[in-house]
Amino acid sequence: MSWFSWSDMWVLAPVAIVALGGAVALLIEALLPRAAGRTSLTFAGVGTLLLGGFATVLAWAEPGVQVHGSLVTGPFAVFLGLVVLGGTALSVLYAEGYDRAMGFDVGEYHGLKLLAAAGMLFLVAANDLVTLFIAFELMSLPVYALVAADRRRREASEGAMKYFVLGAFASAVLLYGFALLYGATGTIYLHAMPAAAGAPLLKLAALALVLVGAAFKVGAVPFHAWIPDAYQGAPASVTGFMAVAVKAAAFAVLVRLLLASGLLGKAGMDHMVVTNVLWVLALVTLIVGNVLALAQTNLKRLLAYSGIAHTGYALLGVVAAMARPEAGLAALLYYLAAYTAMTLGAFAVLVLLATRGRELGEIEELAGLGRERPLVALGMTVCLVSLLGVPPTAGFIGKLWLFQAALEAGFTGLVVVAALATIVSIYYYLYPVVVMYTGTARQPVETFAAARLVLALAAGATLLGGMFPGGLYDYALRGVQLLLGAA
Amino acid sequence: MHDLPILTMLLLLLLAGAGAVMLCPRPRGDLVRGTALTTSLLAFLCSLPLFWLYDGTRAEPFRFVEHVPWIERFGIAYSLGLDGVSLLLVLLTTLLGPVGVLASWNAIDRRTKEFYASFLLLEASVLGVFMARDLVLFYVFWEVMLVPMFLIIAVWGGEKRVYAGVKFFIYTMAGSLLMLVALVYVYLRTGAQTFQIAELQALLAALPPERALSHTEEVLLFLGFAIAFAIKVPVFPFHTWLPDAHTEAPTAGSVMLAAVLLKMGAYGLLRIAIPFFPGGAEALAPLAMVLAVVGIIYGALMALAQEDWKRLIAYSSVSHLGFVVLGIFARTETALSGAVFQMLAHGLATGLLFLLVGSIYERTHSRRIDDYGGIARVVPGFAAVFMITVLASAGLPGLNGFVGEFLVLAGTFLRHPLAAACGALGVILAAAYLLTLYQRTMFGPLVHERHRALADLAPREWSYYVPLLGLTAIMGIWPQPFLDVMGASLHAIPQLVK
Repeated sequence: MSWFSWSDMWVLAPVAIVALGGAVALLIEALLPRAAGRTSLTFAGVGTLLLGGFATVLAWAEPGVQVHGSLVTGPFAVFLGLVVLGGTALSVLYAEGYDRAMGFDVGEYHGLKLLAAAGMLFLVAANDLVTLFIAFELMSLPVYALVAADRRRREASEGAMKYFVLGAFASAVLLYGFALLYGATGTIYLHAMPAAAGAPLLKLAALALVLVGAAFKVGAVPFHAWIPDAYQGAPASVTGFMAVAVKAAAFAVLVRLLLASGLLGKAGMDHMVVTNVLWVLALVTLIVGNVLALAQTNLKRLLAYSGIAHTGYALLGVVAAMARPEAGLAALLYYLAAYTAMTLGAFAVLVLLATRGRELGEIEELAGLGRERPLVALGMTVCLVSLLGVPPTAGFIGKLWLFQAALEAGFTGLVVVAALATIVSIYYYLYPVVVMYTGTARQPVETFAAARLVLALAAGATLLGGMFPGGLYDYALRGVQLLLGAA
Repeated sequence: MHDLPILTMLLLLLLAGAGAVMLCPRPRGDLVRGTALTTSLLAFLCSLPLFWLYDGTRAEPFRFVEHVPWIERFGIAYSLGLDGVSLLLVLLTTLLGPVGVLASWNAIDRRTKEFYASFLLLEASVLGVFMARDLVLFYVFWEVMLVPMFLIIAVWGGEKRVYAGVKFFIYTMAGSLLMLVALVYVYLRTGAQTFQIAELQALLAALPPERALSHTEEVLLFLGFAIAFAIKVPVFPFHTWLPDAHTEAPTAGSVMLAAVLLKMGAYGLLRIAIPFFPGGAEALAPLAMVLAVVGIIYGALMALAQEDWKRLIAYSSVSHLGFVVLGIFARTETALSGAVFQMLAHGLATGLLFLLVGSIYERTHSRRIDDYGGIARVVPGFAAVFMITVLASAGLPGLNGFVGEFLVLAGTFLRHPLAAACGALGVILAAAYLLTLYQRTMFGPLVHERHRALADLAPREWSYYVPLLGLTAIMGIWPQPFLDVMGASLHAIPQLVK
């Protein structure tokens, strides 16, 4: 087996393109400081991500285990790859103008986002523990720095510090879990992991550590404590990125390890234990996320807690997948795509209202937006209503399929709790809508064109996904079937 | 003519109207109103021929059927059609569309574009609920309706509008989320690749014994649907959102809420909850009938105690809708026809009552009953319209309220004489609170000197009062055509329970 082959390079091309783009962006900042923050850099970033997306579609379409067993390609990886790249591209795009207005137009900013995106892309296709961990860190480290991008603000430094310390801890736990997993199974390749390992307790301990690490990154309760501070401290353009792309990639880790590996036998004790743990995580996350969101008056913090609540819904898909892998995972994938669109739309509004170096803080400051900027208010309404799960939006279809998968898997009680938790969320998603359409704006509203474009794209995708959801779901389902077949 | 996708055209017309309204330049309020009025009038004219085209003697339940697959993997389809009951409700909705636009003509003076766009969107989604033959599509329209209605209450409403709007939204959506769980459960349980309401009903009835729903399952699923519908109707004790929402909403919003939206709940009970789970309905019918009677009497007593004109009418809705629920759960053919007829009659009468409050509120900006008195002499036209409406609502023979209540009570009496007897109390109480209201506001000495200058009804107002009153009288004197249209569609329900 030679260490180099062109076909391996071809499979690695998507990641390489994005990573190279990130590295070049960082170099430009160092070598040509005057170019930093310029519009061209934004478009170069978006272009790189689009190119990466193209390469992903072309190079990963063929299902199979590639690069000496390190990557698994196929529609599953393509789907999630496009979700994270799309999320990143939109969050690079909407930062245009925003970072200058906020006074921190540093070139590293785009470079770091691209590097994190390369890590995520790696992550959704990784097939061995080492690649998985490296990808996980490549995703995490740039994001720690990004949270502190606006370093003059104390909350930014505080949020970054909290996120970094806890995140490093979670990474260590994850790594420890990987090590034990290797000890228990004797292999690092996910598809080769035997269901019946020699030491069941060792495997259980490994699974517990892995679950903690992944639960931290997806922001499941009780591992969510970092989220509100990190989300609020980070600039809005970064928060949106964290809320969608990082979360989608982190779910990929969970899915790959638990469901798309040979690790958990269908009937084994560990399967039951993990199912129950996930069940509890989903239940607690749904309740805590939704209830705590009720009390928020700051829009960014509200979206942070809403993100926790949506982790709970997505976990519903993971739980369902423990019993019904195909239906559960397909619903999860669709939901992650829908969540990416609607959440980025909401963050785009936060970004585009940040003028004069000050971000939108309290929800009350949205007052009069419906009159001043009817289209922006309409887009925001679409996104919020979709987060709530009202048809005809993608958020509704996503919930419908998650509920369907979980009911099919027999988790009726959990679905009822999820429905009840959604009732709680009605109030906090409606309140901003009320504020937008009543009251008067205290000052004329200026907005950034790029962020408006992102809002339009996100709201449009949310509506289209709700009205014509069939094709996307079928693609996700095919990806899941192929992935499960390969495992 | 039968091949035209007339129902879709109706929906698209209203959506296009909403879009056109949004495109009007903001200062041109008259253009906005004109566009909205034209759209809603066109929609009414398009829907009117359906009444004559509908052939009640044909065997298949639905006419004007359209069917396009939507999400094929799960058998979800964009599937529309009308039977006798939904046809009448569609006509009621399209009739009240132009009425609502005209009633808002002067009352809505800010954010006009957004108001009329929301209003047309509301009308379209309510029509969708009555037209849908696919359970998911039904749910989609059911939920879509929430957003424009919520905005109409929360943006253009009275003082406590936000509170009332959010309460309305939370109550309705709380119910419908449980319905969502129940409907997915039904789909999985039948193992069918379809969400067609009629097919699911047939499948549920024909489940082989080893897979049949257990009694507990059936009761719980029935509750899952029925609570969503009961909140909407509203059935006591789920009614507490109604007085707030009705009172705070602008006139057109109150009219739509009372006349059409409440009927969605009763319609859901008739179309889905009871046919799907006849066993569950049978088990819970005594409870439902007790709640209906409590609602009739409680609503009437609350109405007697109100000092706010609009709130009084809101509570009268609780009472009148109790008759509808009573008739639905009595499940004799007479009672069912009465219930549906009462839905239409209540839609017209309460719609008129809210329109009248709106008219007078526009002039005086007060809803307190104490602020009125003696104005019959100042505004004789208004007083005359109000008189007829009050009598219709109180169930005077010869007007439509009587037919519905009589049929419900007669049909209920056959099986549940006690419930019918208690329900009849509500008729007496209705006369009491409505005539008291009339006497306190219209007769006696003039309370405020400034009311001497009140203007009587304007031509714009006459333009909708006259047709609505005419219809009230026609339905009261000659109810047979309406009963014929709905008859065949209700025929099957009493036979569901063996």
